[in-house]
Amino acid sequence: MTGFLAVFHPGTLLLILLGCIVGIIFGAVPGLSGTLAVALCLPFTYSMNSVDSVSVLLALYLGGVSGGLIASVLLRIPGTPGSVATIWDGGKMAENGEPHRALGIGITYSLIGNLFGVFCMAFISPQIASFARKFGPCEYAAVIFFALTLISSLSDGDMLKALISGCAGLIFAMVGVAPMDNVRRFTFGVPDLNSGFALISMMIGFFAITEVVSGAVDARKGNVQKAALAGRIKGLGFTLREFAAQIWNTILACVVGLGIGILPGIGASSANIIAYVTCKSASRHPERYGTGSMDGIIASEASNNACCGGTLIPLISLGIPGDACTAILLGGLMIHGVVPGPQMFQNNGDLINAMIAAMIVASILIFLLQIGATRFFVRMLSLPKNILLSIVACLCVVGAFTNNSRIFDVYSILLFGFIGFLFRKLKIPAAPFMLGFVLENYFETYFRRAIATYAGDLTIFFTRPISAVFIIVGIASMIWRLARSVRGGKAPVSRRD
Amino acid sequence: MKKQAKIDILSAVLAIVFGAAVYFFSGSIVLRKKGGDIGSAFMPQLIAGLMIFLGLLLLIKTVAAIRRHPSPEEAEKTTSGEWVPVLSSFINLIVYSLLFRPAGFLISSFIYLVAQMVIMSPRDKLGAKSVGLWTLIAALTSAAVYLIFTKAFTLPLPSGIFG
Repeated sequence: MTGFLAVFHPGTLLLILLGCIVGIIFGAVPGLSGTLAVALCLPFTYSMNSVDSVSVLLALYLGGVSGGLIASVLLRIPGTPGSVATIWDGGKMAENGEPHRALGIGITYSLIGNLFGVFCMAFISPQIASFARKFGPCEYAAVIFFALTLISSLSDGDMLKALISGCAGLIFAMVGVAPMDNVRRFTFGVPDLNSGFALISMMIGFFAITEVVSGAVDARKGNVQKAALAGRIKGLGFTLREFAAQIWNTILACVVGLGIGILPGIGASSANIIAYVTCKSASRHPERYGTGSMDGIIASEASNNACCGGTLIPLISLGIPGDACTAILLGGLMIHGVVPGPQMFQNNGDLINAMIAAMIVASILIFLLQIGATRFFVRMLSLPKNILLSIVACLCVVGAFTNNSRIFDVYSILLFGFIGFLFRKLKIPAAPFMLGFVLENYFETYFRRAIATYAGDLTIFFTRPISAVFIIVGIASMIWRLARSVRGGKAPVSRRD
Repeated sequence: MKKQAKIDILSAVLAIVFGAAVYFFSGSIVLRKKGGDIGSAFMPQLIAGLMIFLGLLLLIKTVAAIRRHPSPEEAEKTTSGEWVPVLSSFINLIVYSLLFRPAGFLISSFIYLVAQMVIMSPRDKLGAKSVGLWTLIAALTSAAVYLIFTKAFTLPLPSGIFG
């Protein structure tokens, strides 16, 4: 309990507040992210005590993930890779003239997702960690394979195009040094290509640059977004009845987000898309998704925030970071002599309690800050589109450059911007490309590791029960959908750019 | 031929050509197989093959649909004027990225912002007064972003001729 109460010291609370504000700003600006905020602020925490240090880093992390929804809703440009799926319904709802409602729903369900993640981290962390320990490379490869088969559900009616988009994403992610043997692939002698394309550059190019270039036509016509003219709505943007109707959807999104978070490396960038697809598939009204529905915003926002708690479970239970941000957090903890792992519960129980308290406080502060600033965020839309989109494009270029301080990332956003625009014109969905791009490296690493471990024996994926279930279900669902698509039957349709 | 069918055929052809190119270039990937490892060329070749297969499926499906439901030639409804802001925006971005390092963030961003605001503005709002306002906004934005990133966030941005 001492650790829990330590967070309520005024100085610590102030640090958490600052962390939340900076995190939200980094999350909201396309190209910047919570990971970058945590990395930049890490040196400032060296001189702090362990509770203050971990509290401010967690506030930055949560703020960065939650802040991503602002740009996704208002500009239809993901603030972070974790809020891509928020565009499909949040952006659409804002476009339909309800930006306050979209933000209200997103902010509230971000809080719910965060609290769900913290709850699981606090109470069932050791149990989840011991289950996760049963996962070897076969199981990880099978789970990621299953996630990849969800690409078939990300179509806007034509599944073949979705699969082509997913394959293109997989191929672009292969550029650079290959996993396992470090062989260079598709680098064509260009040194910058050795490290491949950065996820941030791909995301900015595919979504932001495409949006800016496409928006140029509307802006020139003088089209004003309806959102800017809409009035303010009461409360959080939804009724108690709507809240009750979304309980199942919320639980499913949170569980998927948490589960993806526990898998090392993948994180919120794919959790939101996978949760969106899962919730859509499980919904009685899949046709609502992509039309500006509450369901889609919840699926994306509850999952990416629940993922934060998920990524911390392997960190504190096993000493394995769940994503890039928690890898930096691991460094922050080790600087203060804390070694995450199975012994942390015995040796640093107070610090774990402090982490839980800091996450609860940060989640509530983020909720209050964002709800309080909703009106200000929406007012941004009243700016003339030519000014707003030009500034956004400039920030995107800065975000891509500052990610690694290399000009190659700026050129990359142009390449992906062109591809994104081409996809839009050819009516090829962008989401499968993103999912393929994010998951390729993890899939190939675990797949090849599994094959190498079992001397090239492919049957191992079918003799181990967990991997067999994921692979069979994945293949069966994909074949079924592919057959329907080729025969001309329609997959559940949603309108999505 | 319907516009959608044309789009689908173009998509299929691009997928086949891209898949074939990837398959061709993956032939030059060095193989360092150890034990049961499949090597680094396996995955690109598999995905490239899959992409060609999917492209062919899309092509066959589209051609079959055209044969089943032949429709009269549709008049092109593209408004050529719409391509001007799109192309101009791309060119402006290319120039921005090329100037970003040699000219520095402040100058390149200022030029980009003014040019982009002009490209995106409605023709009837283009005037000396509005261009003057956009110039001021561009200068203030560039300076503010530069100061925030370099001083507050301590993230380096190219200083160019000021460096």
